[in-house]
This record gives sequence, structure tokens and C-alpha cells, in this order.
Amino acid sequence: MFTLLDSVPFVLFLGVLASLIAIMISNWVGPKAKSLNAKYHMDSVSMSLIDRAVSILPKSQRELSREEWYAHLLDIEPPTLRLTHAVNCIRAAMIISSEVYVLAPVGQAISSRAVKIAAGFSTFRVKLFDRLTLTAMRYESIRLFVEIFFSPAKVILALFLIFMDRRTLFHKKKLYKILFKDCFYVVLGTIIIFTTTRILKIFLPLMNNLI
Amino acid sequence: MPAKIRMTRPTMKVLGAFLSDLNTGLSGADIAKETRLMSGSLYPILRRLEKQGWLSAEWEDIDPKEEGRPRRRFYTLKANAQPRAKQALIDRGYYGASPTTATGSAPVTLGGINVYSSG
Repeated sequence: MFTLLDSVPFVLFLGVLASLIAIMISNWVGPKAKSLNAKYHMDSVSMSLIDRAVSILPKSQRELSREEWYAHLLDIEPPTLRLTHAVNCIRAAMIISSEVYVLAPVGQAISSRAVKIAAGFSTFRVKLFDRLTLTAMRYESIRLFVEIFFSPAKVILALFLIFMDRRTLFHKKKLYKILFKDCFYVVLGTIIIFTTTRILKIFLPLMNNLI
Repeated sequence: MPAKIRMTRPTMKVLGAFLSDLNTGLSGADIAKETRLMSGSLYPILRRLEKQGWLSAEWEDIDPKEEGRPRRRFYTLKANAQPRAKQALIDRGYYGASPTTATGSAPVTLGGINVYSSG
């Protein structure tokens, strides 16, 4: 039986159509596949990690370090090792920042004893604000509040210090905002965790019974 | 006069790398290759040494747009810091000791220099 598929012109037409579709698909997929190239992708991840690292640094050192670390990145062979360099840049930035901002002693003071908070806090308050970047401040304040949060005595002492120094701190609006915002998030996070566990405690046995 | 810095082993490795070739500026990548230090340790040390006046740094003399890559930053050990760097390594038995004075230990390459542990 003769069908349409047996006619030579129709088969040729199908062949041309299939080629056109293949060309269209390859044109569409090609650039995407190129952008999924592992090396390219890895380099872009490494560069974004370096950008992240640079954002931790004080403003005066950012451009310098970015260019230097990018140059170092491109000097590394094989490219798979570049990611290690980028991750290490974050570590380097954190160390450099902690040395510049004198923030490390503050963290240590708080984690050691409540009494030392006073000294740490005064360092935090008096020395740092001219040189502190927002990112570094955020990092440190989050750490500060997470640490403080786990000890009620420390919270009371910290609040007392803030209360006592409120006039000194008044012009440091940024600090106030960030500290309280971070504190708010810690409290909010704890409330959410607490509520969720309570709800789960109530509902899980019910669900188990239903199942 | 360069200020005093804390002489940790990685710091000494970095100083060793500079002392091995005093005339050439070294980029971060060069030092990392030579000392096998990771960037996380290396750059804080370089910043510290630079801040304390032991190192001077200058940018590579290229146009990044023409070359299509960022400029490297070359560090050199300042002339007034060289005696202190050498002394620091000698004090810790890492530099300048002859094989006969070494305590029987095999030389270790520290920043391109054969060094002998004082035990």
C-alpha cells in the first residue's frame, strides 16, 4: 500500500524540517550549554566568593584586595584549585578585618566572662566606629547577640551598659539600629523555633494517632 | 625602623621567601607557591608585614584593559627590614646555620632557602 511516507518529496521535506528544528534547538541550547561550562561556572563562583570576602574588609582595602585576589585567582592552575583560593580569601578577609577593627578581643571578652563584657563593650563602643564597615558590624553584632542571648546575666549586663551609655551611643544611630535589628532577629528566630516545637509537640501525637 | 611582629612559622616562611630573592618583587601567588601557604594565612601576614613597615608593595606596570587581566601586586622586603628578618630566622634556627652546626637534622626548604632546624 502506498502511503504519504513513501513519497520521496515528502521524506525530503521531513528531513529539511528536522534539520531546521535541529539548527534552531542547537542555536538555543548552545549558548546555554557554554554558560554551563564547569570551568566558567567555577570561576564565576570563585569571583563572587572573592567579592563576598572583599565586602568584609574595610572600605580602604577593598579595591586593592579585590584586584590582588583576582590576579592571584587567575594565576592558579588547575582552575579547580581556584575555588580553594576564593574560600581562603574569605578567611583572610575575616582575619584582616578582625585585626583592623579590634573586634576579635570583643568577641573573646564576651565568650569568656560576663564581667569582661564591660571592657569589651567599651572597646566596641569607643574605638571602632570610625573604621567599622556595616558588614563587619553585622557579623560582630550577630555573634555578640547570639553569645549574649544564651546567658540571661549577660543580656541584663549588656542592656544595662546600653542604658547607662545611651547618651554616648545616641549619635551612633547605625549601631543602635543594627544591634537591635539583630537582637530582634535572634528573638524572633527563637520564638519561631519555640512555637514550632510546641505546635509539633501537640500535633505530632495527634497525627500519629490518625495514621 | 620596622616594628616588631609576632614570628610565627608561616611568617617565617614568608620572610624566607623574600630573603631567597631580595631583588625580585613577589606576588601573592608567587609567595603562595613557594611557601605552600593558603591565601587565608598568607594575606593577613602580608598585610601585617606591610603595615609594620617590613614590606613595600607596588602594582604591576600594565594596563589591565589591554592585558585583559587584573594587575598583580608585587611585594619586596624593605632594605631596613632585611637584617631583622634574617636575625629573626637565625634566632629560631631557620636560617644561616651551617650543616655542621645543625643538630643532625636534614635541611628543610623554607621559602627557597635550605634551612637547618636548631632542634
